[in-house]
Amino acid sequence: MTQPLLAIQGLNVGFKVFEGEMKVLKEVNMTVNAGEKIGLIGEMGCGKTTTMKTIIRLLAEPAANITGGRIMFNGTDTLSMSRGEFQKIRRNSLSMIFEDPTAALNPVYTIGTQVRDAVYAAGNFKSKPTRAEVQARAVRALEEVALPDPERVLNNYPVQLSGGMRQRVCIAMALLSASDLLIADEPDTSLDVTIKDQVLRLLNDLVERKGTSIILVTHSLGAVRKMTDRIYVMYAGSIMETAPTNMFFTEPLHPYSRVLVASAPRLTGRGIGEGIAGRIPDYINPPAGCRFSPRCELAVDECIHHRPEMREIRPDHFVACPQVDPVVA
Amino acid sequence: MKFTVLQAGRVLFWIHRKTKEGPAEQPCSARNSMRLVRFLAKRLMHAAFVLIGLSILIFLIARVMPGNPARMAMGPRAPQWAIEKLEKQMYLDRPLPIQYFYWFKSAISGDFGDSLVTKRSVSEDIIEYFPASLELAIYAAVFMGIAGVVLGTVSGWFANTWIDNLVRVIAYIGIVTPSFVFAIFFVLIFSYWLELFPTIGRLSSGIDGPPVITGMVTLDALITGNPAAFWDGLKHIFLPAVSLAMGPMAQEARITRSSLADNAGKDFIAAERACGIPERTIMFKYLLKPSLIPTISIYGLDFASLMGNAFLIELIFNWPGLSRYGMNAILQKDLNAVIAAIMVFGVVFVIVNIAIDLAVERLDPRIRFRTGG
Amino acid sequence: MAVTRILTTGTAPNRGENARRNWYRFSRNPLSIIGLTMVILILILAVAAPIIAPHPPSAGKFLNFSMASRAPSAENWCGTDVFGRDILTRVLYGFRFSLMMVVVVLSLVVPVGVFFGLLAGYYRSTWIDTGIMRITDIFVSIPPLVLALAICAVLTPGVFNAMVAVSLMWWPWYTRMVYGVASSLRGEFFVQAAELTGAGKWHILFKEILPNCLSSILTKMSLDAGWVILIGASLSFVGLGAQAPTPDLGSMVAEGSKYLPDQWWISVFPAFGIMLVVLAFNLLGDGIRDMFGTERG
Repeated sequence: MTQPLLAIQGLNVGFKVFEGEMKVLKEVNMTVNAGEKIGLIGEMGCGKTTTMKTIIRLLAEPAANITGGRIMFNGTDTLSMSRGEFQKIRRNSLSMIFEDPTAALNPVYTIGTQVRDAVYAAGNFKSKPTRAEVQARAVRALEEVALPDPERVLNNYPVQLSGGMRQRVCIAMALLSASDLLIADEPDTSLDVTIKDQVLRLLNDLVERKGTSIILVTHSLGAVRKMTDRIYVMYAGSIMETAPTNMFFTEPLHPYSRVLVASAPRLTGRGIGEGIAGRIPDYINPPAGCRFSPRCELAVDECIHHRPEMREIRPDHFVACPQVDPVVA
Repeated sequence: MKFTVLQAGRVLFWIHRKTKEGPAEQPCSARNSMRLVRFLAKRLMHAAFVLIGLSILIFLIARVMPGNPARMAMGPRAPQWAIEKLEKQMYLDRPLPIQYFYWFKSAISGDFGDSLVTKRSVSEDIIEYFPASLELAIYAAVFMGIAGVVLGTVSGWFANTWIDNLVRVIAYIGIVTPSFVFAIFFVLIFSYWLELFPTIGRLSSGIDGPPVITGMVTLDALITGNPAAFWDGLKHIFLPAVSLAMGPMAQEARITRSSLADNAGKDFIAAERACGIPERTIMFKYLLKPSLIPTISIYGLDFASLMGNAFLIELIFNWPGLSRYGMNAILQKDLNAVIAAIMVFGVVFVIVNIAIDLAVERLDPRIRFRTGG
Repeated sequence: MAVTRILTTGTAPNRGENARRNWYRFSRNPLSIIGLTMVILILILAVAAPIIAPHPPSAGKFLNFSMASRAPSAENWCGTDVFGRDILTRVLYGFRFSLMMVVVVLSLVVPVGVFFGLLAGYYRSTWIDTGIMRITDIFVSIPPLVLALAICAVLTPGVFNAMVAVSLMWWPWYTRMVYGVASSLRGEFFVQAAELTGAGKWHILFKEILPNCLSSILTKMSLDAGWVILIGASLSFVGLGAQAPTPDLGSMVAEGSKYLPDQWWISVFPAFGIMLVVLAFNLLGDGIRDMFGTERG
């Protein structure tokens, strides 16, 4: 088997707060192969963004605290890299798109200044490039994300653009330095309904064309279903289930995945879903066993006291729940 | 003079109305300059309103004072008839609004009456003393701005190290120490013990002052090419300017440091890091510029405390400026001079604030393009 | 505070937990604790000055030229001034005047400033707003100390008049701050809900809006305490505040500076006194600001 592009192994992350330490991520495992499109779904506040920020080392230290695990990127452990070494990865191979494009662009510099600096950083320039060269690449970057009149946009400040345009700029900037992996953290959440689809489709086209891997974090189950190859379901800082997208949506197996999928609103069919009773657990004193057990209808004593192992229920379909019986293929 | 002031007001108002609707089809640069003109016109009208309000306030304060201004002007032995004559001249026998009206009428043409102490026209005194104060204020303001921003940035760059802590201690010392204490200690240390700087005045007695052009010694010395006088003037202004600037400088450093820390947690910094932009560029470009906006906005307040403390500093260093003049006027209840001096400070402060607003507007596109774009 | 918390989280935090959380935020920074301790200590020293001070008569008109201008010693820890008065005693009494100044000025300024700010903020864009805010515009168009000096010019110099002068120029700053908070709060749901249920305007102003401004007001008050002392000291330094023989820190520095550098203790210890009080209030104020800060753990 070839080496995966990104392998997260047993990642634990905590935050220090007033009440103690919030143990947010617990034993997160995740694998991304080259060219693969991953969807990460789960409720709000269940550690998706924390995982993403840990990958690209943007957690706000010292409050955040990585207490264990490894993140292998192209075969090297990024957590033990120096700042300078990791900077190289950020410049070329790895980048991230944020949820709110309004907050993710520097308000006091023009789009041009920011894109040009990103071009310069992503570089691959053999000698110091001329202004015109950098400008040309910046224009091309904006053309790629289908922004009309890129020269004008480069002269604008973020406040002068609409939300959709800002997100396109963010995508353009991120793509410049993401030749291997692009992390898209809810790129559609803060956009208008009509713009969401456009932006996601654009993103899909771009990563497909460039062969970039993507981790798409979103609440829109429809979008991940259309766009991704593989789904990871996260709940309260733990991966609950992972499967190829088609298999997952045909039959989600984990009790949490089932309610999550069932509670998605549909245009056709049974109307509004039921939702999930209860709330995300307290991260300071998380349940000792399965973190979903307090809300799970199928929970038994074992679930409450022992962390469930990931089991391969059917080929390539892993579930962390002892209550799910292996499906005989 | 009065006529021109009225005309100026009318022109301002006209500009303000004319520039209200920036036509969209105009080129961007024209619209920008239009916006600037409109902004200035609006600020100047506001300034005029505020200054008139200030003059009413000061006038009222001066007139509620117990005692008869005419009697004070003439001295205790003046005969009754002379006082009554002066009262008539000063419109003291008329109701307050009329008194104010006459005061305003002559003030607008630059006539603030005579000083009781110097026995000269107050405006002459102001013209004589103002440049010294301005010079001191400029040096102090520049020092406060540069040193404050540099200290704050250094502290932010070396966040949570001993350098950061050292800057914090300096900032606390600056904030808690009254400017007059700084002045006294600086004189003691730097001129008495170390004999590095002279104590009082603007020039040493051995040095011929440059001819008065602007009234600011160092500037005049530069214009006339007199390096000895420039150097001497600089040495004289150093201690007063620094002791004046210490407190507000500490404030600036703190604001810069905390807004740097604030912005460092913002998404745009994370996004720029994600793009692999070097840490140095992020710190000194992407982080510093938005963080300077609060620093510059607070500059007005810091300049205010600087102007207030100038009264004490000029007294201590025997600096022949308007603040010392005003301070003496206050101590001797020379009301014409007090009113005039305070109006001058009001004008300076208003101008500084307009400049600050303008700078913030230039720096922050969120304000500039709030309405359109 | 309470109302918004209920609306956003759906559960009312209980009082004890809130207090504990605030204390945690406050005490996270050891400097805040130091500030609090210093303020309490200074308060005790000031209140108990007649008992603690080594030589109480020194606080007033006391002359003993045989003791004049003594350097710090075991007997007079901070030395004596030219009249033979114990400087430590005078500094301790000086704390009393500084603290009294803070209390008087803030209790004059805060109610007035806050009231006008609430009014203007709630009646946003009406003539009430315009009237009040334009008046504050005038007051803030001149540096505070300059205005205080001008007001002092027409009054007879003295502690009380200095306080009046400082108060007169200080209230607009509270008005402007409260105005900012109040005018943004008036659009909030809980204010609108109260309006819909027919609550009177005073109820809305003082029961709905005011509690939500309290954290900013308290923070400003604690930070301002230091400024009041500094301005008071500046006024008495030029002779417009407390008059001799009142033991006021500012005028003591002014007096003592005549005898520099040989008899440095006469001015240095009162200067340290000022710095100490101001530092205490600043540290405390920073702590209170952190406590109420928007940052949530």
